[in-house]
Amino acid sequence: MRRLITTLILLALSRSVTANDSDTEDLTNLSIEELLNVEVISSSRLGQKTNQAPTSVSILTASDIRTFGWRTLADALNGMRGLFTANDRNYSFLGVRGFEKNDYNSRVLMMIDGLRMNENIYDTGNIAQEFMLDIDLVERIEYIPGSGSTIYGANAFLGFINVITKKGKAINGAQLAGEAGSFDTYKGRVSYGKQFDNGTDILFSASHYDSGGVENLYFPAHDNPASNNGIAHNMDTERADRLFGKVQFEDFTFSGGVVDRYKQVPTASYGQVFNDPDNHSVDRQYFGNINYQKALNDKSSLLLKGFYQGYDYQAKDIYNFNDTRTVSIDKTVGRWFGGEAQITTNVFDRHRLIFGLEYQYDLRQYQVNYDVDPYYQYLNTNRNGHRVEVFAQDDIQILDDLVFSAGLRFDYHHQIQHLPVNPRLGLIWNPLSSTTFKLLYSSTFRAPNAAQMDANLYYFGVNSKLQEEKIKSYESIVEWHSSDGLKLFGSLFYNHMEKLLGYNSDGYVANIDHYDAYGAESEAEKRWDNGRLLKASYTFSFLSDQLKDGARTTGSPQNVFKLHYAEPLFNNYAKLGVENIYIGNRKTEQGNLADAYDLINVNLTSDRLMQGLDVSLGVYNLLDSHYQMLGGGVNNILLMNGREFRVKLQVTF
Amino acid sequence: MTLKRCYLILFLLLATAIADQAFAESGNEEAVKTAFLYNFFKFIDWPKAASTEKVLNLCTTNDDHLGDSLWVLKNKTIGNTPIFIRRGINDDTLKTCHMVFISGSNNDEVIIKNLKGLPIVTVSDMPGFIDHGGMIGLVRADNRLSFEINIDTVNASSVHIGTQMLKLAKRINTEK
Repeated sequence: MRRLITTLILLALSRSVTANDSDTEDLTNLSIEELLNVEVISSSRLGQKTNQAPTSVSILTASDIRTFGWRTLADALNGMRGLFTANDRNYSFLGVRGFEKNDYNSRVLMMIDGLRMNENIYDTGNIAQEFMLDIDLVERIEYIPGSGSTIYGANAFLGFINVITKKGKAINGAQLAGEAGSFDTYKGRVSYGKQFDNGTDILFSASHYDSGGVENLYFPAHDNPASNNGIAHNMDTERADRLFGKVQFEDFTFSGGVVDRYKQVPTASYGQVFNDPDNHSVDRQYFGNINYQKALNDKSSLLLKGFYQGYDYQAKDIYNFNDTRTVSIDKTVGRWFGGEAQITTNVFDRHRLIFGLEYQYDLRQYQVNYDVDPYYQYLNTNRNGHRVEVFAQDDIQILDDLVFSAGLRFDYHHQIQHLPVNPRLGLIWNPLSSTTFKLLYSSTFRAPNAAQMDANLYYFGVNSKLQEEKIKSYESIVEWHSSDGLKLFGSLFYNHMEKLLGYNSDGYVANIDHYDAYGAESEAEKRWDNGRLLKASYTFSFLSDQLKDGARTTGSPQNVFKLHYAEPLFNNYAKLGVENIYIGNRKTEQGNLADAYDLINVNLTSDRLMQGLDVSLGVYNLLDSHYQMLGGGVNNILLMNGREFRVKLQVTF
Repeated sequence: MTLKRCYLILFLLLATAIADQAFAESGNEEAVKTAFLYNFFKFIDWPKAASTEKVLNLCTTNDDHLGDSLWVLKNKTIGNTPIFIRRGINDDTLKTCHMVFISGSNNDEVIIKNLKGLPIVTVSDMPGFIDHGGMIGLVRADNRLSFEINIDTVNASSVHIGTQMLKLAKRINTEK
């Protein structure tokens, strides 16, 4: 009897092995119903089934973006498990599993089609109107929290986000889109996409965004008669222009983009003259990229990449020095170029090997800060130097249901003295085809950015001896899928961060901060064949500040809850998307609490009213709450906008 | 073998079958498309004249973007009829196919026009394919692939699509 059972188990195993192990994926054993439930993946460095990846990947698609009416990448990321966004009325910041420091997302690696977007002065990874792409050009968004990100390189400290652009084929013609929203907000876009007979695919797009902003913003910190009783009047204007193009020809992809964004800054956080309409910042970023991807044979593939990128930032701050209105200019110019080579191979039985080499030359890291009249220069620095990153990863199929993944990366970075070596280890066990367990460990680092090296807040011209920040992350994951589209996810994580940069008591930047993050995350998602979706996630995290005896860290919500519900209506003529984002209270710099808040966003779309027409109507922050965000400097808490509306029309022909 | 043992074997076989079924998998796009094409064959009946051939001809036009995935169908059969794959087919040769996969080609309207009324199933992943008179469109939504059918074109061609497949279609369109 026992032998019979063993035979049957072996039989079952051999069946799944034949289904999984062949070089070319064969899904023909699946029925048509099952095929409708297969998740389609196409990520470059993942390149494997998500349930076998040594990470916990979250994915959003163009369809989700449309259903929920997300207006920016920040809106979309705010809907992802474990992430949340903050805003200081100039930039948007990403919080990852409880860690949020208004740090310009320098601890998250931001990529477009696998190309690193963090610039080389502040390491900023932009996500809102300052982000490179119009959200309508996004095909997919992939997010991997800390543990999985070591092979992706510098800045993937807390996690990495890869934004994959649409193919021209997805637009298939000329497209015009226009939208209007609350606070005199308008956006227009014109795009053209096409795939030709020979397979060449092209996409070009230009868009303009213009928002008058909130007419009167109230800042309690400035509530005195000398500064208009704390009312910033017409101080919230924002404009952004974008261009993007992509041509795919045989094994080559050429892409390029530019974004130019202007934002008035109403907060006067650091002693600026309040309610002076000249306070503003401009961010301009661009990139050009060539990709070459080639299957060398049926077991190996090669990826080559070359890029040139630039970032210009200019801020105008108005100060009142000795009763004289003084204009201060803060300006940076970043230029960098580089390339990448990567080989993936299955030539050794039961091994999947990836080797990679990345190189970046920081051509220019120029920063200047001066008062215009009387002219006084506080800062004038420039740097340049090399960054080299080498990594290797081996996914070893130890047993038919057990994969051991080992990765190692080695870095040279001109802004640090050490040569960091960082491992990533993962154990992936599939005891049942529906169930996966993962144990993950990784460490990585973040080099101090050029601004931290050279632009010391209180002691201009003083270069601190700074070292790299370090993180070790541990995670255990369980994933389960049913045959009818239900997915469950659970995770326990622990992140140990040390030598993070902060200001010491003398006002110097120094490697003094030390945090430990403990947390648990869960998600349930069910997709029905008719397009209905129900997804809920909950993240608990406690970020303890070891410099303050383990007390709770500022900006960190302990509870983050998300609910997404989509329903096709009127026989598929329309689709309703309802989103509920709950962010728990957060400790402020002054020690009190910013209130928890609940955002409900409702969006209705239809593409059936007329051939080629896509209409959407959205209500954001339905409950009209002026929810609280952490400010900087004198603004302890900032109040965000209430309810907003948006109408969007898109015509394709 | 006792009856009890028979039941036990049956139970275990069922259990392994269920375990296999519970695989809500992920797969690369080409493999999923290929598997859909294979499944379509199971639900489609061709009129007698077209089925006199000893094989089922699955054709693709230039640059089908299905890569190596399509070759997994090389040794597959539907019932006892083997599938014969012919890639990069154009012009009148297409008229000898049972099923044609047209990928991202902008002359789909020409192909559709040439094949109109013939017992040849046209499949494509182009957006709005069935609105141009194509028969089966593969569409990607919510990170999954599904399909839609233009039932008028299908009926005009005298091929027959099984109700089971019609039921699973995301959208059934009538020609405009």
